[in-house]
Amino acid sequence: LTQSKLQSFEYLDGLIVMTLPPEPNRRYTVEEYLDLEGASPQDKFEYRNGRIINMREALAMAGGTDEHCLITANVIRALGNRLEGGPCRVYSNDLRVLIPRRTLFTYPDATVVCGQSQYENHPRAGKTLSNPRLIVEVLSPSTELYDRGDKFSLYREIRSLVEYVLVSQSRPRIETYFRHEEGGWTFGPYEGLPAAAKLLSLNVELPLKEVFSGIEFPAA
Amino acid sequence: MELATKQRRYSIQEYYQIENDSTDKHEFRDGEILAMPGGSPKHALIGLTIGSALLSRLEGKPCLPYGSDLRIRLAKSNRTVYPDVSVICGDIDYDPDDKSGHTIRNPRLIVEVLSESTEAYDRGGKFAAYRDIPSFQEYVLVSQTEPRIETFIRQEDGTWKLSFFVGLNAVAQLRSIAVDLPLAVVYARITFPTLKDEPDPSH
Repeated sequence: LTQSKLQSFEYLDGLIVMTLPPEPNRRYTVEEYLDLEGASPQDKFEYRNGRIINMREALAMAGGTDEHCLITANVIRALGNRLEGGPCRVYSNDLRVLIPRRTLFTYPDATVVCGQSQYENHPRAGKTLSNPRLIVEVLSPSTELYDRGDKFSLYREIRSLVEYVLVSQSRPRIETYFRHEEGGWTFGPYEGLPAAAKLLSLNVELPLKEVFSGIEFPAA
Repeated sequence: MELATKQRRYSIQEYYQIENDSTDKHEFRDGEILAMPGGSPKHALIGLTIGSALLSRLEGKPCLPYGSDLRIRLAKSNRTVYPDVSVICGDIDYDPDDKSGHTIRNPRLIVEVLSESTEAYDRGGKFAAYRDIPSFQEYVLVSQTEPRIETFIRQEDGTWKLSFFVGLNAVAQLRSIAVDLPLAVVYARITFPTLKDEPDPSH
């Protein structure tokens, strides 16, 4: 039953419940999206300006998800260790984040919040974070264009977001985008396993050796 | 494209020999020869407009803009590229591997007009390869879908200062060549669709 690609099924107290998949060409309202999210806790959907994207399917289609998962876990561990005891904490990719215009609801690979979290609450879909300080995306070929271009552009609308971090899967490379208070950004490329990415928004150094621990790269 | 389907690897000298006799443009990427896709008319027009605007603004200065026929060798990543617009200041540094003298190694500023098929490469791997060029100071990315220019300027500490210039009233400051480039000039002959197009929903 769970093999079906067209529909999602959930096991709910002895019943198998079918949830309808989003139609790719239809435009949805935020309310419809949040209803779908509330009705299918097994799945993660992104809302992008009227369209709904099944993130699990998108990740599966990208192929080779194990490396993506390992790098994401490494990032969260490395950040978590360094943030321990301070006012900031790191969340996994089960945390939903929205931008102020409400044209994007998505699940970043890792999210850091400092101080009080601010949420928008929905009766069925639950809480959506509105004040991330730092967002990490692990790149894959199918999402790289979006992560570097339109998604970054949407994330920039979040006032609290001070830093955006892109992590490559195909080579030891981390790129950071840090927003200055007076406007303007600093782009920091970090290449090679001996390097450590400077996360200016957290005053933390992220060694690439830890982020890419367990990952084998093809010989150059 | 016959060249692209061959499995063998080429040396840079072989590539130069093939390329200098070829009517099409190909990039060399570490042993592989890849055909370059043609761009849209809009892409070509924006590139030409920027080249022309830079040509007049650089008059009397030791810098010159070049169009997309200029080939650049990136020695460290062992590849060649044809940027949409390149600016060289001072003497040209020719790649000694290309005996025809058609390949240079010292751009100061590079402009890429973004298109959906190449944007990820332009922002990612290609920018990384450009960063290895010691003379390279500024990277300029130009949108086709809205009036938006992004500039990355190299800083002494290894980071880059990123600025966004958005809207037809904005003026992009190209600091490495001390040129102000109004977006109204860049996009003077470009019309934008009224509804902003969505990113690819297939993700």
